[in-house]
Order: sequence, then C-alpha cells, then structure tokens
Amino acid sequence: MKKIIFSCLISLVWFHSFAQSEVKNDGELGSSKDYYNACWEMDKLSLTDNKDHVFAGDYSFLVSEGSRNSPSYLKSPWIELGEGNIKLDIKTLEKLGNGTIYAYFIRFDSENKKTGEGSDPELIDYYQLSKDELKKDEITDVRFKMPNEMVGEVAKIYLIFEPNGKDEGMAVDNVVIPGKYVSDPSSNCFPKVEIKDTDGDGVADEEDDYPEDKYKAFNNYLTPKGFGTLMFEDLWPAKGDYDFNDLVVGYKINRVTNAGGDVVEVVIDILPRAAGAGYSNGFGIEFTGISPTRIENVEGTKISSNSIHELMRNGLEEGNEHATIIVFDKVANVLTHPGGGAVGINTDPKFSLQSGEMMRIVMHIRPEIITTGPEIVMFRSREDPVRLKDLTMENFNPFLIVNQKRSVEVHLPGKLPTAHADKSLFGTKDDNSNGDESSYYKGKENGLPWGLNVTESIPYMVNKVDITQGYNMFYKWAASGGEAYPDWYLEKGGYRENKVLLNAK
Amino acid sequence: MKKIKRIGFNLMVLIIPGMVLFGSCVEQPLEDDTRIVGSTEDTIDDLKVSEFFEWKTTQEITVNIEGLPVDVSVNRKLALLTASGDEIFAGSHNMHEDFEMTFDLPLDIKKITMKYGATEKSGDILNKTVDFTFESEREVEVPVVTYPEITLE
Repeated sequence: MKKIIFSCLISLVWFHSFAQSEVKNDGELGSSKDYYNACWEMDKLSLTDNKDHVFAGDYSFLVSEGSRNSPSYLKSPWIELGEGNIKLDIKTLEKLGNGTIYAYFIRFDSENKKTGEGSDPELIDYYQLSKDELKKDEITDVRFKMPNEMVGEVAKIYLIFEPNGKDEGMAVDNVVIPGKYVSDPSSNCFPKVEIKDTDGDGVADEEDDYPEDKYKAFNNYLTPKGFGTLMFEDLWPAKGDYDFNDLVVGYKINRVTNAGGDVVEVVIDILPRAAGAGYSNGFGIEFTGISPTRIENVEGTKISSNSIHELMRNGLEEGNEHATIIVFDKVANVLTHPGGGAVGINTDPKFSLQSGEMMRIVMHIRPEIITTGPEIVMFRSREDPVRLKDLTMENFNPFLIVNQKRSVEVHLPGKLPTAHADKSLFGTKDDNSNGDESSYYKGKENGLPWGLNVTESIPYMVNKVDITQGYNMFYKWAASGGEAYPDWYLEKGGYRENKVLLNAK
Repeated sequence: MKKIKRIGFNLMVLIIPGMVLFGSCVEQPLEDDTRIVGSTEDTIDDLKVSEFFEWKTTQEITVNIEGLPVDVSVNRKLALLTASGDEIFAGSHNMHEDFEMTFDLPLDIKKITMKYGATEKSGDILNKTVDFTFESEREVEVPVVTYPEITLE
C-alpha cells in the first residue's frame, strides 16, 4: 500500500512539475550572443552589469529608446505555451515619462521557410507605466495572462518595450514564460520536430547507421579514406631486402558505437594482397589496452585445424595481456599460390595476380545485460565501457607471425611484442630493441623498420626491389625524420615508379 | 704610379662596401625549404634514420567544439568529416556540452568539417587543432504588429 501511495505521489509531483515548466530569461548569461545562439532575439535591448541598473543577479536588460518602426524588443524561442502568466520585472530609471510594454504571440507558420514566424502577431495584452505612479528605482511586477486558446500551441512571445522618456527609461529582468522550450538551435531555431526512431535508441533513423538495431548507432572508421596498407618484412631480427612485400594486407577498421558513444563492436575488413615470402606466415592484431575479458566473441578469422595458436572461448588468442586476434595463421588460407614456380604470391609481375579473399572479422565487446523490466534493458559492462579513444592507431598493433613460429613476431616500428614473443631475440642480429619502447623493431645500424603502415591503399613493391626504388620520396621522408615529403606514398608527379609496383586488390 | 695605386685603393674602398651592401639586398627565401634535395641515386643501403623517427603516416589532430552555455535539450548526430567528405567521427552529442577528441589522420588533411543538424562549418587545422562553436547565423524578422489604441488612465 505504501508503495502505491509513493508511486501516486511521484506521479503527482512529475505532473505538477511538467505543468509548471517555464522558459526563463534573467540575463545572467551576460551575453546577447549567447541568448541569440539559444534562439532568443532582441533589438535595442542590451545587457548591462551596471550596478545602477541591475536589480537582480549580475545582469539586467536595459531598454534603449526605440520607435514603432524600430522597436526595442525581446522575442522568445519557440515555446509550447503553458497555463499561467507571462511575468517580467521592470525597474524604472530616471527620466521615464510614460512607458508601455506590449506582449504578442507569434504563431508558427510552416510556409515561412526563413523563420517559421506567422505574419500577424496577436496581442495578448499591454501594460502601461504611468509617470504618476512610478518612482525611481521601483520594481514593477508586470504580468500578462496567457490566453486559454494559446495553451498547448507552439508560438513565440514577442515583448515590445516602448519608453516615452528620454535617456534611460527602464531595465528589464526575470522574464518568465509558462511553457516548454521547443526551439532547435541546430535547425536554425525552428521548432523541434518529432523524430522517427524505429529502434528507440534515441537516434533519429535518418542519422542512425543502424536504424533498426538499438544496440548500434554509428560507424567510426579508423582509416577514413578506406583501406589502409600494412607491409611487412619477415626476416626479423635479420635485415631483409626492404621490398616490404613478404606480407601485404589491406585493412579497414570500423568501431561501431551505440547511442551513448560506447564501442559495441569492431568490424575489421582484411584484404590479403601479397605474400612475397617462402615462409608460411600468419597475421594477428593486438588491441593494446583492451583486456581479453572485455571481448564477448570474435568471428570471421581463418585458423587451420592444426594451428599453432591456442584460442580462448571468445576467439581471441590465449595467453595475451591485451585482446589479440589471429586473423589467419597461414597466408595460404587466404591467398592462393599461382603455381608455375612463382616465388610468393602476387609479387612477381610475370605471374597473374591472385584475388585475395576479403575477410570480415567482427569483435563484439562484452556487455552485461541487466533486465530492469519487461520493456527496459540496460547495459552495464563489468569494466569501464570501451570508448573511441581506447581504439586509435596508438592501440592498433598488427603483427606478422614468422613461418609458424609463434615466438617470432614482426611488429610495426615502436610497437611492443605480445606475451608470446621470444624476448631473447630482441637486440640480436640487426634488431635494435633494447627495452625502450621506441626502439622496438627498428634496425640497429640504419633505424629501418620491418613493417610499414600507410592509412591509404597503395601499391607495393615487386619482389626483391627495395621500397626506395618504387617510391621516389621515401628516402627523403625517412632521412628527414618525416619532415620532407610526408605524402611520399601518394600518386603525385614523380613520386612513384610504377614499373616496380604492383597493386593486387 | 703611386697615383694609380691610390685611385685603385679609393675604388676598392668604394666597391667593397657597395658589394657588401648590395649583396645584402639579394632576395632570401623567407623560410628554409625543409625538403632535402637528395641525390637521384639514394639507395636503401645509404639510408640511415633517426632512432626517434616514428614512421607514422598520420598526424594527431584534436577537434574542440564549444557547447552552448545553456541546455537547449538538443542531442543529435555530430559528424566530423575531411574536406573530401570522408567521415572521421559520428556520435550523439548534446549541444550544450563541449566536445574534444583526438584523431589519427592522414598528413595531407588540412581541413575538417563539422555537421550538426543544419549547422555545417569548416575549419583549418592549425597547430594540430581545429576549434568550432555551435554559433550560427540565421534569418531574423522584426514582426510588424498592430498597436492597440491606448488612452492614458
């Protein structure tokens, strides 16, 4: 019984507060521009913090002398008008003769594409300030009763201040209009329109990438120009031939977020393009900083039945500190060798290019579902939600697994190995990895890497031709520490030698 | 002979400062060209790279948006795009809240566009930052009203 009474009280309070909703303007933003941005309009009405004029808070509006052709006015945003009185406080200043305040309402007119304002404002009432009754600095409480026929209508309230004195006539403050603010500053201050939201996630269908899925709302691509390109050498820790084609994959990563901005799944499109190696290499991606326990499941990988990798139930590789996907354990699973004595796949122009198998891997972020009622389902992760800032290029750590040896990984320069890497290999042969994070997977003598990441789809080198011979500005870019030709990979005049480039897609 | 030598000396006295002065008037580039003019035969064997080079083809760009100072109860899609129309961010955003996010963008991107409802603005990337506000211009009409006849009481 107590519960029922409490519920009734809550309902009454809610109804009461809704019925009493008001739109206020007390000038305290202190800036006409801020009020304009919030869909108020005014002319010959300035905000003042002059203590002689302010009579409530830190700011009041000061009426300048206006005329009927060019009135001093305050025009409200669109309001769904409520019952009650339009209220404002007036403080009379020196030399006010008589003065009048007019209150009009302006109906919405959908035919008026500029402002939506109807052409014939209707008078609500007016209030006369008579010099016989007024005393300097006296505050007058002005009220206009909202006409019953306007309650529930969407309209603007238009207040005109007509002082008949000279100089400073009156200050205005605490404007209160009964009703609900329904202007939309993101749509030129037109009234808000009812949105179609099929899945009920709060995102309008026309703005929702997944209008029928309440758990997904927006696509957020890590590489906005489409596929990026990853290129690896596989002789690490020994120096390679720098053709960077022992494994070439295109990648596109979409971090799908829900209406609240949490990443709910990561869609990884992988296009294997070339494998210029004699080795049977694999390919994986670590999402640094994302705990494996955060992942519900991974689907779409290509793992052999006799794989060297041990997988967790959720599809991630076992034994890693960070969420690690083995995309494919053997490149032959995703790229077909052309035969005929070719060394590698898609790296020798004498052989026809093989089409790689486009892979789509989906990594679902784990939610914890709490059902709070038959209709309402709330999601709460056991840990903090994964946000876009947790899945940037900083956290993207792709790597090659050399010739079915799990302990030999090749990462991009400056990226750290996974827990499976054989630490004893670091610093051996030509590798400079010395424990300092920035030193990993860089050449001891020349600082050159074993892997490159370009965030666009670019051609790669034919076999045994080093990258400086296909990309003329690569040398200058690298030698200058990235200062010169940061666009070395683009197709610009003189940038590429196409005869030594291949472009399997 | 001595006279000739003296004339020659006087000429030198005039010419050398003149050369120095006029030499200083030779147009100098305002900035050094950072591009290295390398030999056309740069080979991978000669290439030596700083150990601090990060090998990135992206730049970190921070986008800041100043929210409106009052809650106008508008929450809708905020989209950020490159000048070529590629979307780099999409998400719901309250118009009265500030926004700040850092993106890894290709180095050739120089401009970002913000879309929020009918508001569309573009801003140049300056010091790896782009700043926006939700301020926008709109049509303003001063309504024509019929004033009532008033007699002073």
